[in-house]
Formats: sequence, structure tokens, C-alpha cells
Amino acid sequence: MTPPSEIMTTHGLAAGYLPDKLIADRLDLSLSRGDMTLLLGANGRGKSTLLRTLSGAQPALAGEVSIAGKSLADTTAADMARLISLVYTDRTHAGHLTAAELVALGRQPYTGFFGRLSADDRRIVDESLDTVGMLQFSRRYVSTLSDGERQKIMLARALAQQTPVILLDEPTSFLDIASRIETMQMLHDLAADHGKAILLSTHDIAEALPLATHAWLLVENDSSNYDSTQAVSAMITGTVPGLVATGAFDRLFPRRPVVFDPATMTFQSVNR
Amino acid sequence: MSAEGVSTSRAAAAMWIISAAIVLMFGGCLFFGSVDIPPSAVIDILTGGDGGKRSWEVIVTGARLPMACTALISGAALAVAGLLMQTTFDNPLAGPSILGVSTGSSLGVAVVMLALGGSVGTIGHYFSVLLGAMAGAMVVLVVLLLFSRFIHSSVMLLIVGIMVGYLASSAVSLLNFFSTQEGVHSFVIWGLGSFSGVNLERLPVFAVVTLAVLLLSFLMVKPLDALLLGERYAANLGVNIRATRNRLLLLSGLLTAAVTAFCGPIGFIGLIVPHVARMAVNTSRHIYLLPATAMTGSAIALFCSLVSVLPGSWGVIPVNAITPIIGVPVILYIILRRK
Repeated sequence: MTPPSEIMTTHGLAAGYLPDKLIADRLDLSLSRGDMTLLLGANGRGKSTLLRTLSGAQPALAGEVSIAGKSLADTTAADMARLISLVYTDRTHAGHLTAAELVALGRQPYTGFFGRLSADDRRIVDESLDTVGMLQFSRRYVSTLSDGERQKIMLARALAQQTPVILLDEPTSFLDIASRIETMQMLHDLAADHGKAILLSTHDIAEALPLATHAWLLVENDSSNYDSTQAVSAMITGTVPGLVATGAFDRLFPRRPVVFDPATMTFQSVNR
Repeated sequence: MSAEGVSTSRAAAAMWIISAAIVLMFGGCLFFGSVDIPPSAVIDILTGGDGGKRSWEVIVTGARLPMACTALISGAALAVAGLLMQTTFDNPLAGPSILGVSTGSSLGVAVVMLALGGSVGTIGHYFSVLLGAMAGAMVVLVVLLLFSRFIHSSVMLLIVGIMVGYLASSAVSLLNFFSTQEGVHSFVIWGLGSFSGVNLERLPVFAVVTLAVLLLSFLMVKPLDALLLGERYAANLGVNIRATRNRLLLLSGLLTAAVTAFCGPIGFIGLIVPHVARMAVNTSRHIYLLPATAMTGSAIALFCSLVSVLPGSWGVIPVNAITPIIGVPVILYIILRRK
């Protein structure tokens, strides 16, 4: 068990697109090792944009992101690859690779010019496969795996990258319910047992919320309850129990016929 | 063990078989041709003798040997260009001829040839043709690159490539219309595609240029592997996407242009060979796939070259009449299997 410690922070961060699409601004966020943080919000609130900004794939409009005490702007792509790993929602079709070969790509930030694997690299690949329960699939071609199995391989690839932070953009969208629960449990264990800082955007609130420690809610920015800015969204952050206690989840879907039920930690229809 | 595992032995076995095929085809290209020369005479000539007839010696060392070498090198170059494009565009149907790069080269060559009135005999003119081909290929690649900034669907980008190809070939037709007969004639002959256009004098230039670019391509195996996961994952692995993509397009453009300038626009090899090679070595890892693609390209180009001289004294079939016969079934197989 690694003691919780801050690994990634933002100060006055503004995310969005130039010239005039401001998703959210004045963001002071923090991710710690051992935390599993959910990024929640209705479609179009800017979850993916925020994740891209945090990973450096898209420049911040203002403010800064710091990781391991260093500003993202001063971090090279090579260093970034050892600090943040990403898992996306889309199906990957790296056809003629075995599961182990795909996971081994996660070692690229550490291997030499031609990407040759050392004995150490191979051990890390096997461990990563083992962590996601896919070691027995290591010689299977990725094209023969199911969506759920493939997503576990992508997660193993992120683990092989050995980064303190893992960002995931709706990693469970394509998966069946069993795989969703399994993936969420896996992410929880990675945070709790391996001391990773995990941030994932998801719509699978029912599966994720009971396992998460923190949540970031991207809600509608109405100027009455947030300093009036041009931003489309406002951010509410906190621990999951804290947010449940303050009724923050009800602000995720305003004017929609759903209501958050704190007892079951799920959204319910108001018409029930 | 598991991370290297499966593919290594299979890839090694496949590459031995392909090597054997290359040797066989290369030999075939030396022993068979429009003129019947007894095998014993060919062996005698190749080992330094005169084979009994002065004309036979000229044919073997002056025509068959450079043609076989040209096919060997061109096949490898076109196939590798196709592989680089397929990985860069993340599209199994990308290739020099499909994306309009060969047509761009043709346009460049047409401009140069028709401006020179059809006399491509001298070595100085040859460099102009080469430069024309390079410029044409680069223009098309830059256009594709610009479009790829806005078009994220690789199918749409492929269609843009096809359209650019049509524009280039229409420009070629217009140029033909306004130029001299000799110019048109030499351009049309060149356009049929042939591995016989490189004589012993030009062979060293062609070989050095093409092999140098092929070697540079081998330096890209690591980012190429990362690109198999798509650009976003590749970026996350520390790959500088823009620089890598530019380098890959430059390399594939140079390979296409070098071959097109010397041999004419040769279709299908760049498109199909990477698939054949992938099936042979059964891995997408470029450290195996890239050499296997180069070797398979050589073998298939030599085979096409061999088939082109089959009619014997009846004449030589243009290479571009043969490549689709091999290419189209392979493409159909790929399309059907992808479902």
C-alpha cells in the first residue's frame, strides 16, 4: 500500500479550443497516487477535452498542469511517456500482433532505437498481462480476442508503460456489463494496491461510483453559482462520500428527468 | 519469452523461403529471355567467359543482368513504399499507385520528357527525369499531408489521393495533347512500365539511391510499430507524430519516385506485397515485416519480369499488364477477409 501523495496538479487551468470554445477554466485540480477519480458529466460537457489537455495532447488555454512537480510545458514527449499512460475508448485493430507483442509496445519509452526488449522488459510485459488476468492469452493474436479482452490488453499496455498516472477516456463504452464491472474493479485495485493515480471519464456511474475514491463533476456553468465566466462547464470536485452528501450528483443532469439516489448510488427516473 | 515468442521462428522460416524464391527468380531472369541462349553459355558468360557468341554476352551482361538487378531493387523499393504508406495512413489499401503518388511522378516525368522533346538518352536528361519524378511525387504527398490535417477518416483521405491521381493524369493527357510526337511516344513507352530501362551505366546510381533510402526506412521500425496502435497511442508512447509522419511520407515518396523515374509507373506491387509479406511472417512487427516486405517485393517483381519475357521471340509484355493479374486477386482476398 503506497501512501496517498499528490502526483498531478493543475493551477488556473483553462481547457477548450481556440478561438472561442472555452470548456472550463480556473481549474485547480489534483490527483494522488492511490486515488481512483471519476470524471463525470453529460455528453458535450468537455470530458475528453479536459483529458486531452491533462495529457498534453492539446495545449492548455491558460494556467498549467504539473506532473511529478514539473510543469507539463517543460516536459519532453519522451518524459511524458514515462509519467502518463492513456487508454481510449475506440477499438484498436493492431491485427497481426499477439497480446504480448501489443503490451510490449508499452515498453517503447524505455527501449532503445530498434525497440529491442530486455529480459527486464519481458518480465514487465508478463507482469502487466498477469495483473489484468490475461497472461494465458499472451500468445493469442489480438484480432482473435473479444472487445473486453482487447481492452484489458490495452490496459496491460498502459501498465507496461509503468507510469504513476493512468488516464482513461470512457474505457468501458464498448464492453458488456461483466467486462465493465471487471474493468472498474481492476482500476480500483491498480489504485489501491499498486498506488497508481487513476482518472477515468465514464458514463458507467453505477459500476464505477462504489469503487472510486474521488469524482470530478463537469456541470453546466450557470453564472449564478459560479464566478461568471464564458466557460461552458463548471467543475465540482470532492471525495465520493462528500459529493454524495452535498447532493452534487443531481447537478450532472439538470432539467433531465433523472435523479441521483444516494442509497443505491445510481441515477433513477423521476417518474418511477 | 512470450513477448518475442511466436513470430520469430515463423518469420525466420518465411524469410528463408522468400530468399530461395528470389534466387530462383533472379536465376530465371538470367537464363530466360526473348533470345534463346543455352544455359551452359549463360553460366560461361556469368563466370567471365564469352559464352561462344559476342551477341549472347551483350544480352546476358548488358540486358538480362541489369534488368534482373533493377527488378530486384524496384520491387523492394515499391513494396516498402507501400508498407510505409499503409502504416502511415493506417489503411490496408494505401499504396504508391492508389494514393496518386505514382501518377504525380508520372506528371513530373511527363513535364520533363515532353519539355525535352523525348530525348531521354543522355545521363543528364536522366537526372532531369529523376528530379521531375521526385518533384511530382512530393507535390502529391504534400497535398495528401495537408488534407490529412483536416480529414481524419483514412478512407476519405484515400479518396482524396485517388482524386489527386485523376487530376495528375488529366494534366498528363493535356501535356501529351500539346507536345511533339516523339515526346509522346517515349512517354507512352515509359508509361507501360519496364525493368529494362536501366542499363549497366545507370544501375549504380539507381542502386545506390534506392538502397540508401531503403536503409533509412529500416531506422523507422520503432515508431512504425507504435503507429500500429493509432496516432494517439503512438503519441502517448513518446513518438513525435508530425515529424514521424513527414519522414515516412518523404521516404515512401523518394522510393516511389526513384523507381518511377527509372522504370515507369509500376502498379500494384506497393499495394499487395505488404499483405503477402504479412501473411508470410504472420506479424505486423516492422522489424520482421519490413525486411520481409522488401524481399517479397523483389521476388514478385522478378517474377513479373520473368513472365514479361515468356513470349520469347514474340516480344516483351509490359510489366503493368502483368502486375494487376497478380494484384487484383490479392486485393479482393484482403477486402473479403476483412469483413
